[in-house]
Amino acid sequence: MTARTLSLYALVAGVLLTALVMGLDAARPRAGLPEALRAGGAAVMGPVLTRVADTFPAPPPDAPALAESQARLALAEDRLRELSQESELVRAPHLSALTESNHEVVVARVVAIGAFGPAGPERVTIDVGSVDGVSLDQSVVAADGLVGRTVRVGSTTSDVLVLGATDLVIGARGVDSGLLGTVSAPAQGDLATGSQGELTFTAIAFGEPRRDEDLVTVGSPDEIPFVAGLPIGFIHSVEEWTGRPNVEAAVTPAVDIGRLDVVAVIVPEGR
Amino acid sequence: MGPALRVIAALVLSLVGAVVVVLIQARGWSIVPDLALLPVLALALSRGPVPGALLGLAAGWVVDLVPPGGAPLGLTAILYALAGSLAGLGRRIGPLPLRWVALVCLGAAAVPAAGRLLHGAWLGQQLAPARAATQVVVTLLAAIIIVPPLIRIDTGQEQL
Repeated sequence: MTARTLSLYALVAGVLLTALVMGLDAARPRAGLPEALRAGGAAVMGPVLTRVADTFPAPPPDAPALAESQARLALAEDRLRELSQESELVRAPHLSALTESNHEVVVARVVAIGAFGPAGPERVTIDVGSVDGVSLDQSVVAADGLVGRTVRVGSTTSDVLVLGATDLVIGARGVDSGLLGTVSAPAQGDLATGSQGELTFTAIAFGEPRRDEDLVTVGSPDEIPFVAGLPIGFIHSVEEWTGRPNVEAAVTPAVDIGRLDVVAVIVPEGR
Repeated sequence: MGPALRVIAALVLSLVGAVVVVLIQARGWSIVPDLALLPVLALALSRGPVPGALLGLAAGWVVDLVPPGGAPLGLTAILYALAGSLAGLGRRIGPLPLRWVALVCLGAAAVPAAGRLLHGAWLGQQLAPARAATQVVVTLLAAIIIVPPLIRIDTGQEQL
Protein backbone atom coordinates (compact mmCIF):
# COMPACT_ATOMS: atom_id res chain seq x y z
CA MET A 1 0.00 0.00 0.00
CA THR A 2 1.48 3.34 -1.05
CA ALA A 3 1.73 6.39 1.17
CA ARG A 4 -0.84 8.14 -1.04
CA THR A 5 -3.36 5.31 -0.59
CA LEU A 6 -2.77 5.35 3.17
CA SER A 7 -3.35 9.12 3.22
CA LEU A 8 -6.59 8.69 1.30
CA TYR A 9 -7.83 6.04 3.76
CA ALA A 10 -6.85 8.27 6.69
CA LEU A 11 -8.68 11.21 5.12
CA VAL A 12 -11.86 9.22 4.49
CA ALA A 13 -11.78 7.81 8.04
CA GLY A 14 -11.15 11.27 9.49
CA VAL A 15 -13.98 12.85 7.53
CA LEU A 16 -16.42 10.07 8.49
CA LEU A 17 -15.47 10.34 12.17
CA THR A 18 -15.79 14.12 12.05
CA ALA A 19 -19.20 13.87 10.36
CA LEU A 20 -20.32 11.44 13.09
CA VAL A 21 -19.25 13.81 15.89
CA MET A 22 -20.81 16.78 14.07
CA GLY A 23 -24.08 14.89 13.65
CA LEU A 24 -24.13 13.89 17.32
CA ASP A 25 -23.43 17.47 18.41
CA ALA A 26 -26.06 18.96 16.11
CA ALA A 27 -28.70 16.36 16.99
CA ARG A 28 -28.49 16.49 20.75
CA PRO A 29 -27.14 19.29 22.95
CA ARG A 30 -24.40 18.05 25.28
CA ALA A 31 -24.12 14.65 23.66
CA GLY A 32 -21.49 12.51 25.41
CA LEU A 33 -18.71 12.33 22.84
CA PRO A 34 -18.71 15.99 21.70
CA GLU A 35 -18.85 17.22 25.30
CA ALA A 36 -16.00 14.91 26.29
CA LEU A 37 -13.92 16.31 23.41
CA ARG A 38 -14.78 19.90 24.40
CA ALA A 39 -13.89 19.17 28.02
CA GLY A 40 -10.56 17.72 26.88
CA GLY A 41 -9.83 20.77 24.75
CA ALA A 42 -10.70 23.08 27.63
CA ALA A 43 -8.57 21.10 30.09
CA VAL A 44 -5.53 21.45 27.84
CA MET A 45 -6.03 24.94 26.43
CA GLY A 46 -7.97 26.67 29.24
CA PRO A 47 -4.94 27.28 31.49
CA VAL A 48 -2.95 28.52 28.46
CA LEU A 49 -5.65 31.03 27.52
CA THR A 50 -5.97 32.21 31.13
CA ARG A 51 -2.22 32.62 31.49
CA VAL A 52 -1.91 34.62 28.27
CA ALA A 53 -4.97 36.73 29.10
CA ASP A 54 -3.41 37.59 32.47
CA THR A 55 -0.65 39.42 30.59
CA PHE A 56 -3.19 41.81 29.02
CA PRO A 57 -3.71 45.26 30.57
CA ALA A 58 -5.77 45.04 33.72
CA PRO A 59 -9.40 46.21 33.52
CA PRO A 60 -10.38 49.53 35.09
CA PRO A 61 -10.20 49.26 38.90
CA ASP A 62 -13.95 49.65 39.29
CA ALA A 63 -14.90 47.07 36.61
CA PRO A 64 -15.12 44.02 38.93
CA ALA A 65 -17.11 46.06 41.47
CA LEU A 66 -19.49 47.27 38.73
CA ALA A 67 -20.11 43.74 37.45
CA GLU A 68 -20.71 42.46 40.95
CA SER A 69 -22.96 45.43 41.78
CA GLN A 70 -25.10 44.76 38.69
CA ALA A 71 -25.46 41.12 39.65
CA ARG A 72 -26.41 41.96 43.22
CA LEU A 73 -28.74 44.78 42.09
CA ALA A 74 -30.62 42.43 39.79
CA LEU A 75 -30.93 39.90 42.60
CA ALA A 76 -32.15 42.58 45.00
CA GLU A 77 -34.72 43.85 42.48
CA ASP A 78 -35.93 40.32 41.94
CA ARG A 79 -36.21 39.85 45.69
CA LEU A 80 -38.12 43.14 45.92
CA ARG A 81 -40.51 41.93 43.25
CA GLU A 82 -40.97 38.71 45.14
CA LEU A 83 -41.70 40.63 48.37
CA SER A 84 -44.19 42.83 46.56
CA GLN A 85 -45.98 39.79 45.22
CA GLU A 86 -45.92 38.26 48.69
CA SER A 87 -47.70 41.26 50.11
CA GLU A 88 -50.41 41.02 47.47
CA LEU A 89 -50.82 37.28 47.56
CA VAL A 90 -49.97 36.63 51.15
CA ARG A 91 -52.55 33.92 51.50
CA ALA A 92 -51.37 31.91 48.51
CA PRO A 93 -50.05 28.60 49.82
CA HIS A 94 -47.10 28.35 47.45
CA LEU A 95 -45.63 31.57 48.85
CA SER A 96 -44.65 29.72 51.98
CA ALA A 97 -42.04 27.96 49.89
CA LEU A 98 -40.16 31.17 49.21
CA THR A 99 -36.89 31.36 51.06
CA GLU A 100 -34.36 34.03 51.64
CA SER A 101 -32.16 34.74 48.64
CA ASN A 102 -28.62 33.59 49.30
CA HIS A 103 -26.80 33.73 45.97
CA GLU A 104 -23.09 33.79 45.44
CA VAL A 105 -21.56 36.04 42.77
CA VAL A 106 -18.32 34.88 41.13
CA VAL A 107 -16.46 37.62 39.26
CA ALA A 108 -14.57 36.54 36.13
CA ARG A 109 -12.72 37.87 33.08
CA VAL A 110 -13.42 36.98 29.48
CA VAL A 111 -10.30 35.28 28.12
CA ALA A 112 -11.45 34.13 24.68
CA ILE A 113 -14.22 34.84 22.19
CA GLY A 114 -15.22 32.24 19.63
CA ALA A 115 -16.67 32.32 16.13
CA PHE A 116 -19.11 35.04 15.20
CA GLY A 117 -22.74 34.29 14.32
CA PRO A 118 -25.24 36.58 12.61
CA ALA A 119 -25.63 38.75 15.74
CA GLY A 120 -22.04 38.68 16.95
CA PRO A 121 -20.01 36.21 19.01
CA GLU A 122 -21.87 33.07 20.08
CA ARG A 123 -19.57 31.70 22.80
CA VAL A 124 -17.03 33.22 25.14
CA THR A 125 -14.65 31.62 27.62
CA ILE A 126 -14.26 33.01 31.15
CA ASP A 127 -11.48 32.32 33.64
CA VAL A 128 -13.54 30.68 36.40
CA GLY A 129 -14.68 27.08 36.63
CA SER A 130 -15.84 24.36 38.95
CA VAL A 131 -13.09 25.14 41.50
CA ASP A 132 -14.68 28.59 41.88
CA GLY A 133 -18.15 27.12 42.45
CA VAL A 134 -19.41 27.61 38.90
CA SER A 135 -21.51 24.88 37.32
CA LEU A 136 -23.61 24.33 34.21
CA ASP A 137 -26.61 26.51 33.37
CA GLN A 138 -25.89 29.55 35.50
CA SER A 139 -26.59 33.15 34.56
CA VAL A 140 -23.65 35.31 33.51
CA VAL A 141 -23.98 39.10 33.71
CA ALA A 142 -21.90 42.18 32.98
CA ALA A 143 -22.24 45.64 34.46
CA ASP A 144 -24.95 46.51 31.92
CA GLY A 145 -27.00 43.33 31.98
CA LEU A 146 -27.33 39.71 30.89
CA VAL A 147 -24.47 38.08 28.97
CA GLY A 148 -25.66 34.47 28.71
CA ARG A 149 -25.46 31.14 30.49
CA THR A 150 -22.71 28.64 31.20
CA VAL A 151 -22.77 25.66 28.83
CA ARG A 152 -19.45 23.97 29.62
CA VAL A 153 -17.61 24.13 32.90
CA GLY A 154 -14.04 22.95 33.29
CA SER A 155 -11.99 23.14 36.43
CA THR A 156 -10.55 26.61 35.74
CA THR A 157 -12.49 27.92 32.72
CA SER A 158 -16.11 27.92 31.55
CA ASP A 159 -17.77 28.50 28.18
CA VAL A 160 -20.72 30.86 28.04
CA LEU A 161 -23.42 30.74 25.36
CA VAL A 162 -24.09 34.43 24.87
CA LEU A 163 -27.12 36.52 24.04
CA GLY A 164 -27.63 36.41 20.28
CA ALA A 165 -26.38 32.85 19.85
CA THR A 166 -28.59 30.75 17.61
CA ASP A 167 -29.19 28.14 20.32
CA LEU A 168 -30.20 30.62 23.02
CA VAL A 169 -33.84 31.62 23.54
CA ILE A 170 -34.60 33.63 26.68
CA GLY A 171 -37.94 34.25 28.36
CA ALA A 172 -38.38 38.03 28.62
CA ARG A 173 -40.84 40.53 30.05
CA GLY A 174 -41.39 44.18 29.17
CA VAL A 175 -40.79 46.26 32.29
CA ASP A 176 -43.53 48.79 31.45
CA SER A 177 -46.10 46.75 29.54
CA GLY A 178 -45.50 43.49 31.40
CA LEU A 179 -45.77 41.74 28.03
CA LEU A 180 -44.18 38.29 28.02
CA GLY A 181 -42.20 36.86 25.14
CA THR A 182 -38.90 35.44 24.06
CA VAL A 183 -35.65 37.04 22.96
CA SER A 184 -33.57 35.19 20.39
CA ALA A 185 -31.13 35.70 17.53
CA PRO A 186 -32.78 37.33 14.52
CA ALA A 187 -34.00 34.94 11.84
CA GLN A 188 -34.32 35.68 8.13
CA GLY A 189 -37.09 38.20 7.51
CA ASP A 190 -37.07 39.57 11.07
CA LEU A 191 -37.28 43.26 11.83
CA ALA A 192 -34.05 43.05 13.83
CA THR A 193 -30.82 43.15 11.88
CA GLY A 194 -28.16 40.87 13.26
CA SER A 195 -25.38 42.79 11.55
CA GLN A 196 -26.11 45.65 13.95
CA GLY A 197 -26.14 43.32 16.94
CA GLU A 198 -29.92 43.49 17.36
CA LEU A 199 -32.04 40.63 18.70
CA THR A 200 -35.66 39.67 18.11
CA PHE A 201 -38.33 39.90 20.82
CA THR A 202 -41.40 37.80 20.02
CA ALA A 203 -44.46 38.38 22.21
CA ILE A 204 -46.30 35.21 23.21
CA ALA A 205 -49.69 36.87 23.70
CA PHE A 206 -51.81 39.69 22.27
CA GLY A 207 -50.31 43.05 23.02
CA GLU A 208 -47.89 45.54 21.62
CA PRO A 209 -44.43 46.05 23.04
CA ARG A 210 -43.54 49.68 23.62
CA ARG A 211 -40.66 51.36 21.91
CA ASP A 212 -37.70 52.10 24.25
CA GLU A 213 -39.18 49.71 26.79
CA ASP A 214 -36.63 47.75 28.81
CA LEU A 215 -36.76 43.96 28.78
CA VAL A 216 -35.73 41.76 31.71
CA THR A 217 -35.46 38.01 32.13
CA VAL A 218 -38.54 36.16 33.30
CA GLY A 219 -36.39 33.67 35.15
CA SER A 220 -36.30 29.90 35.12
CA PRO A 221 -37.45 27.19 37.51
CA ASP A 222 -34.88 26.96 40.33
CA GLU A 223 -33.08 29.80 38.53
CA ILE A 224 -31.59 27.30 36.08
CA PRO A 225 -30.36 28.76 33.80
CA PHE A 226 -31.65 32.29 34.30
CA VAL A 227 -32.24 34.38 37.39
CA ALA A 228 -35.28 36.67 37.04
CA GLY A 229 -34.98 40.41 36.56
CA LEU A 230 -31.69 40.62 34.67
CA PRO A 231 -31.65 43.43 32.07
CA ILE A 232 -31.61 42.05 28.51
CA GLY A 233 -31.88 45.25 26.49
CA PHE A 234 -34.44 47.71 25.21
CA ILE A 235 -36.93 47.63 22.36
CA HIS A 236 -35.57 49.56 19.43
CA SER A 237 -38.44 49.25 16.96
CA VAL A 238 -41.73 47.37 16.76
CA GLU A 239 -43.33 45.80 13.69
CA GLU A 240 -46.69 47.12 12.62
CA TRP A 241 -49.41 45.35 14.59
CA THR A 242 -51.72 43.31 12.39
CA GLY A 243 -54.05 42.03 15.08
CA ARG A 244 -52.32 38.72 15.57
CA PRO A 245 -50.30 37.56 18.56
CA ASN A 246 -46.56 36.98 18.34
CA VAL A 247 -45.76 40.59 17.51
CA GLU A 248 -42.05 41.01 16.87
CA ALA A 249 -39.75 43.81 17.91
CA ALA A 250 -36.08 44.58 17.40
CA VAL A 251 -34.09 44.67 20.64
CA THR A 252 -30.81 46.44 21.28
CA PRO A 253 -28.91 44.31 23.82
CA ALA A 254 -27.88 45.93 27.09
CA VAL A 255 -24.42 44.41 26.78
CA ASP A 256 -21.94 44.78 23.92
CA ILE A 257 -20.72 41.18 23.81
CA GLY A 258 -17.78 42.01 21.56
CA ARG A 259 -16.32 44.36 24.17
CA LEU A 260 -16.83 42.29 27.28
CA ASP A 261 -14.13 42.15 29.89
CA VAL A 262 -15.31 41.63 33.45
CA VAL A 263 -18.43 39.55 34.07
CA ALA A 264 -20.08 37.81 37.02
CA VAL A 265 -21.57 34.35 37.32
CA ILE A 266 -24.61 34.10 39.58
CA VAL A 267 -24.48 30.91 41.62
CA PRO A 268 -27.95 30.17 42.96
CA GLU A 269 -28.48 29.14 46.54
CA GLY A 270 -27.46 25.60 47.41
CA ARG A 271 -25.53 24.84 44.19
CA MET B 1 13.60 19.09 9.27
CA GLY B 2 11.88 16.04 7.76
CA PRO B 3 8.51 16.15 5.97
CA ALA B 4 6.64 14.62 8.93
CA LEU B 5 8.17 17.11 11.34
CA ARG B 6 7.15 19.96 9.06
CA VAL B 7 3.54 18.73 9.16
CA ILE B 8 3.67 18.72 12.97
CA ALA B 9 5.21 22.19 12.91
CA ALA B 10 2.37 23.38 10.64
CA LEU B 11 -0.18 21.91 13.07
CA VAL B 12 1.51 23.69 15.98
CA LEU B 13 1.39 26.93 13.97
CA SER B 14 -2.34 26.35 13.40
CA LEU B 15 -2.79 25.87 17.16
CA VAL B 16 -0.93 29.11 17.86
CA GLY B 17 -3.06 30.85 15.21
CA ALA B 18 -6.30 29.55 16.76
CA VAL B 19 -5.25 30.73 20.24
CA VAL B 20 -4.20 34.16 18.93
CA VAL B 21 -7.56 34.58 17.14
CA VAL B 22 -9.73 33.87 20.23
CA LEU B 23 -7.51 36.04 22.45
CA ILE B 24 -7.58 38.98 20.02
CA GLN B 25 -11.34 38.68 19.62
CA ALA B 26 -11.65 38.79 23.42
CA ARG B 27 -9.91 42.18 23.31
CA GLY B 28 -12.66 43.64 21.11
CA TRP B 29 -11.42 42.90 17.55
CA SER B 30 -14.36 41.62 15.56
CA ILE B 31 -12.59 40.96 12.23
CA VAL B 32 -9.50 38.80 12.62
CA PRO B 33 -7.72 36.83 9.86
CA ASP B 34 -8.26 33.09 9.90
CA LEU B 35 -4.69 32.52 11.11
CA ALA B 36 -5.11 28.80 11.77
CA LEU B 37 -5.93 28.24 8.09
CA LEU B 38 -2.70 29.76 6.73
CA PRO B 39 -0.33 26.82 7.49
CA VAL B 40 -2.92 24.52 5.87
CA LEU B 41 -2.90 26.60 2.69
CA ALA B 42 0.90 26.64 2.60
CA LEU B 43 1.32 22.87 2.97
CA ALA B 44 -1.54 22.19 0.55
CA LEU B 45 0.11 24.39 -2.09
CA SER B 46 3.40 22.56 -1.70
CA ARG B 47 2.10 18.97 -1.27
CA GLY B 48 -1.25 18.65 -3.02
CA PRO B 49 -4.94 18.08 -2.24
CA VAL B 50 -4.84 14.94 -0.05
CA PRO B 51 -2.15 16.14 2.40
CA GLY B 52 -3.85 19.56 2.33
CA ALA B 53 -7.20 18.05 3.23
CA LEU B 54 -5.66 15.92 6.00
CA LEU B 55 -3.86 18.86 7.57
CA GLY B 56 -7.02 20.97 7.13
CA LEU B 57 -9.04 18.36 8.99
CA ALA B 58 -6.54 18.30 11.86
CA ALA B 59 -6.22 22.09 12.02
CA GLY B 60 -10.02 22.46 11.93
CA TRP B 61 -10.28 20.14 14.91
CA VAL B 62 -7.75 22.31 16.74
CA VAL B 63 -9.89 25.40 16.05
CA ASP B 64 -13.04 23.58 17.16
CA LEU B 65 -11.46 22.42 20.42
CA VAL B 66 -9.72 25.62 21.53
CA PRO B 67 -12.22 27.20 23.97
CA PRO B 68 -14.85 28.44 23.48
CA GLY B 69 -14.79 26.19 20.40
CA GLY B 70 -17.13 25.86 17.48
CA ALA B 71 -20.65 24.62 17.12
CA PRO B 72 -21.45 22.09 15.84
CA LEU B 73 -18.19 20.44 16.75
CA GLY B 74 -16.38 19.30 13.60
CA LEU B 75 -17.83 21.85 11.20
CA THR B 76 -14.60 23.84 11.06
CA ALA B 77 -12.65 20.59 10.51
CA ILE B 78 -14.78 19.69 7.48
CA LEU B 79 -14.57 23.23 6.07
CA TYR B 80 -10.79 23.43 6.57
CA ALA B 81 -10.42 20.01 4.92
CA LEU B 82 -12.32 21.32 1.89
CA ALA B 83 -10.20 24.48 1.87
CA GLY B 84 -6.98 22.44 2.11
CA SER B 85 -8.13 20.17 -0.68
CA LEU B 86 -8.99 23.13 -2.90
CA ALA B 87 -5.68 24.84 -2.17
CA GLY B 88 -3.88 21.56 -2.95
CA LEU B 89 -5.40 21.56 -6.42
CA GLY B 90 -3.43 24.78 -6.97
CA ARG B 91 -0.08 23.02 -6.58
CA ARG B 92 2.26 23.55 -9.52
CA ILE B 93 5.65 22.12 -10.40
CA GLY B 94 8.36 24.71 -9.88
CA PRO B 95 8.20 28.12 -8.24
CA LEU B 96 4.73 29.53 -7.56
CA PRO B 97 4.10 33.14 -8.61
CA LEU B 98 2.79 35.31 -5.78
CA ARG B 99 -0.36 36.22 -7.72
CA TRP B 100 -1.12 32.50 -8.13
CA VAL B 101 -0.64 31.92 -4.38
CA ALA B 102 -2.92 34.88 -3.68
CA LEU B 103 -5.60 33.60 -6.07
CA VAL B 104 -5.54 30.10 -4.56
CA CYS B 105 -5.59 31.50 -1.01
CA LEU B 106 -8.55 33.72 -1.91
CA GLY B 107 -10.53 30.73 -3.21
CA ALA B 108 -9.57 28.49 -0.30
CA ALA B 109 -10.18 31.16 2.38
CA ALA B 110 -13.65 31.68 0.92
CA VAL B 111 -14.56 28.03 1.58
CA PRO B 112 -14.91 28.24 5.41
CA ALA B 113 -16.69 31.61 5.13
CA ALA B 114 -19.12 30.28 2.51
CA GLY B 115 -19.65 27.10 4.53
CA ARG B 116 -20.58 29.06 7.64
CA LEU B 117 -22.95 31.23 5.61
CA LEU B 118 -24.62 28.10 4.21
CA HIS B 119 -24.83 26.62 7.71
CA GLY B 120 -26.48 29.85 8.92
CA ALA B 121 -28.91 29.82 5.99
CA TRP B 122 -29.74 26.17 6.75
CA LEU B 123 -30.63 27.20 10.34
CA GLY B 124 -32.71 30.15 9.09
CA GLN B 125 -30.35 32.72 10.57
CA GLN B 126 -29.85 36.18 9.21
CA LEU B 127 -26.70 36.21 7.13
CA ALA B 128 -23.90 38.74 7.18
CA PRO B 129 -22.20 38.30 3.77
CA ALA B 130 -20.41 41.65 4.00
CA ARG B 131 -18.78 40.59 7.26
CA ALA B 132 -17.84 37.21 5.79
CA ALA B 133 -16.34 38.91 2.71
CA THR B 134 -14.31 41.28 4.91
CA GLN B 135 -13.01 38.30 6.86
CA VAL B 136 -11.93 36.59 3.62
CA VAL B 137 -10.13 39.73 2.43
CA VAL B 138 -8.33 40.14 5.77
CA THR B 139 -7.33 36.46 5.69
CA LEU B 140 -6.07 36.89 2.12
CA LEU B 141 -3.91 39.85 3.15
CA ALA B 142 -2.42 37.81 5.99
CA ALA B 143 -1.95 34.86 3.60
CA ILE B 144 0.01 36.98 1.11
CA ILE B 145 2.49 37.77 3.89
CA ILE B 146 2.64 34.43 5.71
CA VAL B 147 1.97 31.66 3.17
CA PRO B 148 4.90 32.21 0.71
CA PRO B 149 7.63 31.87 3.39
CA LEU B 150 5.90 28.73 4.73
CA ILE B 151 5.85 27.23 1.22
CA ARG B 152 9.54 28.06 0.84
CA ILE B 153 10.32 26.33 4.13
CA ASP B 154 8.32 23.24 3.13
CA THR B 155 9.70 22.91 -0.39
CA GLY B 156 13.20 24.14 0.33
CA GLN B 157 12.95 26.71 -2.48
CA GLU B 158 15.00 29.86 -2.25
CA GLN B 159 12.51 32.09 -3.99
CA LEU B 160 8.94 31.93 -5.21
